[in-house]
Amino acid sequence: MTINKTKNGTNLTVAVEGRIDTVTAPEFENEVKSALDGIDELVLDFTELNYISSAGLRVLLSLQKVMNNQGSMTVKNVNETVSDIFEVTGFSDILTIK
Amino acid sequence: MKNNGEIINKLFKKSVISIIAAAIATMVGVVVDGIIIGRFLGTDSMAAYGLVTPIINLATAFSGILATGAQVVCAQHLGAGKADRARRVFSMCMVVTVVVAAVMMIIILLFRGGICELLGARGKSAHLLPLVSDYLLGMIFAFPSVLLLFEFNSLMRLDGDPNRVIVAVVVMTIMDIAGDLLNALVIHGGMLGMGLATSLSYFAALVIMLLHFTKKDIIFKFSLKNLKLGDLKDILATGSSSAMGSVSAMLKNGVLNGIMVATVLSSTAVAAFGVLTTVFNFTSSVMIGVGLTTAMIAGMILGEEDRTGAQALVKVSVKTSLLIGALLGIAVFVFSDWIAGVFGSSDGAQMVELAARGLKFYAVSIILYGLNIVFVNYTQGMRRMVITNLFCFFQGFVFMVLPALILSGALQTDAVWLSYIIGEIATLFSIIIYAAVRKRGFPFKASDYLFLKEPFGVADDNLFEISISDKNEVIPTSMAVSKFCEEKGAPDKIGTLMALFVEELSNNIIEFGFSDGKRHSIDIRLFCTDEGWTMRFRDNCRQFDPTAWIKLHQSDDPTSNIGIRMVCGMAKNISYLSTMELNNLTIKM
Repeated sequence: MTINKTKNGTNLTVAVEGRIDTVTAPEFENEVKSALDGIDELVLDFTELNYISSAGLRVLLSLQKVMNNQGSMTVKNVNETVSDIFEVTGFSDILTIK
Repeated sequence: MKNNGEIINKLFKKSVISIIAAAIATMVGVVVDGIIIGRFLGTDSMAAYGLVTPIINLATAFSGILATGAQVVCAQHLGAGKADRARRVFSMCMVVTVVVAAVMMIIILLFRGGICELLGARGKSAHLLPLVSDYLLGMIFAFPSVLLLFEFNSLMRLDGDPNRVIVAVVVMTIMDIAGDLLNALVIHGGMLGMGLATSLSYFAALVIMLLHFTKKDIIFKFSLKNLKLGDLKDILATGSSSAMGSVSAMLKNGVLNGIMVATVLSSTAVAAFGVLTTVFNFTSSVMIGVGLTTAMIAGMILGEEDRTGAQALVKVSVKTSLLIGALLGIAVFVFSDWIAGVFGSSDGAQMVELAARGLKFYAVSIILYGLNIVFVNYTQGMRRMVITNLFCFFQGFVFMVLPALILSGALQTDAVWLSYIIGEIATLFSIIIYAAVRKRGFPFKASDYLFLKEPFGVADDNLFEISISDKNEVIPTSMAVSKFCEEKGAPDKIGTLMALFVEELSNNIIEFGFSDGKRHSIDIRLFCTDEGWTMRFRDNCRQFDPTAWIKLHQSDDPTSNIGIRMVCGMAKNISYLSTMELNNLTIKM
């Protein structure tokens, strides 16, 4: 998993490449949460994300809770498989997906 | 990483212990029956008991055919994930059993006197008629139980309830011994009482077995719907080797007895041969326990066409039979004089000496017998019935009787003792030669002895197999699955989902199933056929059906059961089956 963070004022875009699974999910959570101070708009760019498991979904939910208190969170460029996973698990109703 | 065969090994070892324990307990009951009758009711009663034996053998022969046949056919259907077909076979087996038992009971009730005469209570032995008749009348009520117990003994294991078999058999043995003693010492009910005590003990065991069907989530539920005669044909064809074994043993004993009669020692030799036959019945029941375990698991492996599983089964069954065979062989060899002495107190020193010599020869053959019986039962489980019946007939009759006949002139009684060793060596050679012919080379690996009917299962190139026994192995396995799918040209989505299923289900099994402190394992199989992609999870943890779980635990909490919801929601088809205390989950895409 590769994470690229781009900060623009209070806007943070995090591009994730590869897999978010049981092993990489804690690293993903730490990387994003450590950069959330003063951020009121978080964008998760999943263009290159080809795999997300329940461990990753739990992190997304946790990030969503944080951002509900300090701004907003958007997930964008989700591929078909990941989109199906969001749909089946009901995360498409919880997350803002573009 | 690949399939390490650990689940098959553990399943085999766990099953073989309970099957052998049941066999020993039953054997103890039979032996004690004879001893109590002999000691407390006298010689005539003992003779009457002996005369009824063929009828008991007939009942057990019927139940042997039905039980082994139904066990293998049901295991095959369960291995293929077809629980409905296994249920249908079970129901057919029950119907046939009840009909056979009823017919036997009616015939014996109507023609008891004639049957007793036919069994030998005539002429010089006519005075035994009332005793034989009484014992037969008492035993008659045991027939339905005898038949059903043999079948339940096999089927309960498939239905994940092996402990019930042990409890039932132990209760039966204790009740039988207690009933016999009560009858002989207190009630003085004679042979009728002895027969009734046996019937009651079998009935008690049957009741314990029947309580299984009050449980929820069992595979075998009786139904008269959709019964098919084809299932009966399958049961009888697969169980035919059991009949072949009985017939071979009967013919062999007849010929070998004849050889003994013709020897210089004549009746002493016959008595010594009787001792050996009794010891053979006991040791063979233990080795047949190993064989029955092999047949049961082979049936399941045949159903899912699992070549790796077959290889693991051959290895573990051969190792187990060698170990148990060696232990039994050493015990019989070392204690041969003592064993012969137990039987021979009233028959004189010459008989004891002869029987002890015979037992020493026989002891050497036990390890080979175990090895051969495992192969016979393995091929039966794989439903290679022509080979099975041929091996069975040659091992049980031809390979023993021929050397005994050829050598009897020169070696007298030693010819019979030697025939046990020669027969097993000849059988083993014929198995090796058969494997060599199939391989067209020397068969020195376990994979050379699989005797599978090709084509069998998925070609190795299209098959991914792995075992997981640790959490750290989950993600590497998930990634390997993804890579395998990519190499086989699967769409990206299939690869991702298959990898996801591995992570979610394996983590779930490890978290909840591995928590009991015992060592567990998960076997994963993934393959592609014209019908699409199939992934099978098998684990030896406590029973857990994720498909039922998700239906029972609907929740608004988005974080609850995410993994199982993902799998159940994204699989095209998902089915769960618990058999032989293994969880089997099959996912199709």
